[in-house]
Amino acid sequence: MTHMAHSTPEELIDVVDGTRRVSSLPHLADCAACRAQLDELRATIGEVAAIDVPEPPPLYWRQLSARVHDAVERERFGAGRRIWFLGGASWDTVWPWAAAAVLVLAVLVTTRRGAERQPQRTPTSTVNLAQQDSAPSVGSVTESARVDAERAPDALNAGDSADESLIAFMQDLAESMDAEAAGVSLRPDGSVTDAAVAELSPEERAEMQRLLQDAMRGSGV
Amino acid sequence: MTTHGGTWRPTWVIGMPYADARDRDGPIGSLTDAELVRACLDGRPDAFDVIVERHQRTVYRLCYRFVSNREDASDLSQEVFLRAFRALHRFRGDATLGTWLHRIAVNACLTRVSAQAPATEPINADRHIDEREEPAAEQLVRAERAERVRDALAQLPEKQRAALILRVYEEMTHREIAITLGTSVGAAKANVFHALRNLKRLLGSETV
Repeated sequence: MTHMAHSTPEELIDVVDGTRRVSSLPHLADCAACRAQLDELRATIGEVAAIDVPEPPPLYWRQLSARVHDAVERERFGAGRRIWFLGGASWDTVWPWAAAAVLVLAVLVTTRRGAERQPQRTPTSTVNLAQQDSAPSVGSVTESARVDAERAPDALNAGDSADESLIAFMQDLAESMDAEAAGVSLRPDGSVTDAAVAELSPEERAEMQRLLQDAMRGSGV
Repeated sequence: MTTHGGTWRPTWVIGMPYADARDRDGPIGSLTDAELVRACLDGRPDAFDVIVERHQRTVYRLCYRFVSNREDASDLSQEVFLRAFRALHRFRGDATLGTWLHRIAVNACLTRVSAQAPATEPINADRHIDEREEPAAEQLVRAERAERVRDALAQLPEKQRAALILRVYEEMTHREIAITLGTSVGAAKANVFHALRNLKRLLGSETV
């Protein structure tokens, strides 16, 4: 049977490459046009293969090496330095995002810190400075704190989170300074103790004395 | 690790310690490609210089095939090595460094070729000619002929040119060409076929 269809480009290329035998294409034996095309393909590919890259001057390779070296050094130390763990992105691209991320993180931390401080501020709020000279008792300090705590929410709601953080810090600082200046501690003063002891019955006093002695023996005093 | 003639010689793999003290202190040029990559990643910048010196000719020649002039081939070679430097941490050592660089170079060339048509060098461009082999007149004829072929190659459509260069000069199989160019094997063969026919047409029937 005569193969009337011409050989396909794929078949001809396979023959040129040597991956297909000419004998596997019976049409080639009968078709002068296909044979001529095959010859042309072989001749052209031979012509192309014979073309070599012109050899540059001997010093060219040293120049190319130096050029690549300089480019790599710029890459390594320059503004375009890449960050491998970010898929090779350059610092030029990354730093604005990094700065924004740091800013957001700072705001979040500040806000959280302010929120954590807020409930602590209420019971231990400022000691009234007017009471410094009079060595306030526990009751008066507590009362002052309660009044200040009632005022606090309005004042705190007015500021932004950054201001709140600053206010909280200053407030804590003021508390410690106030307490030191006023000689205030959460332990009761002597007059309060005397008044409490005076109200005890003789049996209660004897029991308290026994407990105190036990405690002193237990602590090695 | 293996021994060669009683001398301990490590066979390193990427990701493992690349060298002992002898190699750290010894000439870096004696390291293998894989060791050079590891040394480079370990912070020895001179290791990449050695990689460049070893592979620049191959990379340059491939680039020249695509762009047909020395200046663009130099630019392209530099770009190939920069890409390699940036991606060095991703080199797994599955293929040789040469193969890996070749892939990078082909991709860079294809990108360049799709971006701009190559400008071939004039025949009288400054060129090193070895006069010991054949007379100057014959060399000139040959150089002119080569220039015409390069010029014709530069006029081919992008994929035909790429397929022909990869097939003829890089000796890729049609399957490899298809993968590289993102086409089917049949399309890769068709590209080579039409590239050859168009070249024949451009060069004229009397010259081939």
